Amino acid sequence: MSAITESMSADHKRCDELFAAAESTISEENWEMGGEALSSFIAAMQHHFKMEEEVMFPAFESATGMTMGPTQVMRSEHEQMRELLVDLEAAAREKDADEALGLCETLLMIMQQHNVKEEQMLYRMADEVLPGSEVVSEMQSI
Amino acid sequence: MLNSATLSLEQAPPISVPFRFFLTAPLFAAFAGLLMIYYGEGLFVSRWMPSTLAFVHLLTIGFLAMVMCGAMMQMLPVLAGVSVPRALLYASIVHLFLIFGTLFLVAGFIYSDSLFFTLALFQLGVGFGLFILLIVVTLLRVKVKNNTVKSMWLAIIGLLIAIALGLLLAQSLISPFDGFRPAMMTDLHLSWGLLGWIGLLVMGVAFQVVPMFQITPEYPQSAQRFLPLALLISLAVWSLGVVYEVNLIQELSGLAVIIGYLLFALSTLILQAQRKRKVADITLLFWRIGMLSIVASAVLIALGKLFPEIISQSEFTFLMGGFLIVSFALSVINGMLYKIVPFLTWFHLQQRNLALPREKRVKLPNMKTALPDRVARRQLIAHITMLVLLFAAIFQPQWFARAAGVALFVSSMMLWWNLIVVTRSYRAYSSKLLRRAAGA
Repeated sequence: MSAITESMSADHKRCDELFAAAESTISEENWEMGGEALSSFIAAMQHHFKMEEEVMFPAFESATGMTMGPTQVMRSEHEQMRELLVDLEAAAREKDADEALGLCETLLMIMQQHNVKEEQMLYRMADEVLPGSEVVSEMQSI
Repeated sequence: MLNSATLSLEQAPPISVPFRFFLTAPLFAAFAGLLMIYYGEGLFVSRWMPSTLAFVHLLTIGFLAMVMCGAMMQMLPVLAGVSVPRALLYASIVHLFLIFGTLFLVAGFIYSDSLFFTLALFQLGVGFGLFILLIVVTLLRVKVKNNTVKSMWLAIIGLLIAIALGLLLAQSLISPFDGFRPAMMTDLHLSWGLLGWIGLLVMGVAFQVVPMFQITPEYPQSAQRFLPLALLISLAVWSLGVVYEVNLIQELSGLAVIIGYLLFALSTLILQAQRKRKVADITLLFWRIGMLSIVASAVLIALGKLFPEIISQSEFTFLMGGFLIVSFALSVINGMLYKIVPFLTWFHLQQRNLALPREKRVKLPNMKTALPDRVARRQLIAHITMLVLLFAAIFQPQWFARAAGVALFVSSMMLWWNLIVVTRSYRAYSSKLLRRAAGA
C-alpha cells in the first residue's frame, strides 16, 4: 500500500528537476528561455499543491478526523512557497538575477524540508488510512 | 498503524535553541587559533602534549559537538517528526554546561590541574549526559523509522561511547587507576568520537541533504540501509580487537571501517558530480573539501601499510588528525551552517509575516540577501588558506604554525561574524514584524 507515497514522491522529483532547469537559466541570465522554464516549474508546483489541497488533504482529514494536524502545517508551508513563487516571478520579470537566485535558494530549502515531511510521514500515513487507488486517480485527473 | 497523535509536523523549536549553539561554536574555533598562535610549533611536538590536547578539544567539543547538538535538536522535528520536549530549557542547560565544560577541560590540560579536570568532568558529564538522554527519549517516540533516524540512533550510541571513554580518561588524569591503559583508551576515545559520532551523523545527514539540495540521484538504498550499521559494528569489533590485542581482528575490522568511509566519500563526490543543479554553491565546495579529506586519509593509511616506518612518525598522526578533524569535520560543518542559519532566519520570519494581514506584511530578505555568496566565499578562501597553512605547519612547524593559528582565528571569526550579521538581520526584522502586528 504505497500508491500515494510513490506517485506523489515522483511528482516531487519532477518539480525538483523543473526547478533545477529554471534556476540554471536564471543563473545564465537567459531570460527568454528562463521565462518558459520558470513558467513550467511554477505550473508544476501549483498543480502539485492543488492535488494535495483539493483531493488528498480533505480525504485524509475526513478519514482521520484531524483537521488541525499535519495537513494544516503542510498547507501553511504551501502558502510560504506560493509567496516565494510570486516574488520569484516578479524578480524574473525585472531581470534581477541576484534577487531571483536568492529566492531560488530559499525556495529549494523550504521545498525540500517540506518534501521530507510529506514523503516520510504524511504520505505514509495517508497510504495507511486511504488504501486503494481512488485518491491517486482522482488527483491525477486534476 | 501509525499513531497519528504522536506525530507532529509542527515546526522546529524556537530559533534561539539552535542559534545559541551555532553562534558560540566559531568562537571556540577562534580560541583554538589563539592557542596555536601562542604555542606555535610547540603544538606540533607530539599528540600527547597538553597544549595539543587542549587545542584539539576546543575544536572537537567547542566547535564540532557544539554545532552538532544544536543541529540535532533542530533537525529531529523535520527529519523524524518529533519535537524535543522542553527544548528551550534543556538547550540552555546543555549549552552552558558544554561551554564551561570545554573551558575547564582546556584549563585542565594547560595547567595540568586536577581541580579543573574535576570541574570539566562534572560539566561535560552533565551536559552531554542530558543531551544524550534528551535525544534518546525523543528518538524513542519516533514512529516513522527512516534511514536518517536510524543513523541518528547509531550516532548517539557513538557519542555515548566517546563521552564515556573521555570521562574515564579525565578521571584517570585526576587520580590514575590500576591497569588503565591511557594510550589505548585515547585511541578508542578519538575513534569513537570521530568515526562513531561525527562521521555517522554527517553520513546520516548527507543521505538526506546531498540529493535534496544539489538535486542529485539518491545514494544506493543498500548503502543507506546498511553502511552506518556496518560501520558501527566494525568499529565495535575493532575496539574489541584493540582491547584484547588481537592483531588480525584489528586489521580486518579497521580495514572495513576505512573501506566504509571511503565508499561514503566517493559516492558523495560521484553524486555531487551528477547534480542537476548547476549554480555555484558555497556549501557544496565545503563538502567537497570534506569528502576529499576522507579520501586523503584513506590514502594515507594505505601508505602507512606499504611503508610501516612512517606510521610511528608524529607527522603521520598529525596528518590523520588534520584530515579528519579539520579538513573533513570542520569544513563540512562550516558549510552546513551556511545553509541552516540563513534558512531558519527566513523561515521563522516568514511564518510570522504570513500570519499578518496582507497589507501589513513586510518584504523579507531571502537567504542570499541575508548572507550574500561573496561574503561566504571570502570566508571559504580564508578557510582554505588555513588548511594549506595547517598542513604546511605539520611539516615545518617553526615556519608555519603561527601563521596557521592566525588563519584559523581569522577564518573562524569571519564565520562567526557572518552568522552574527544574519542574526542581526533576524532581530531587526523580528521587531519590525512585532511593530506591524501591534498595529503600526
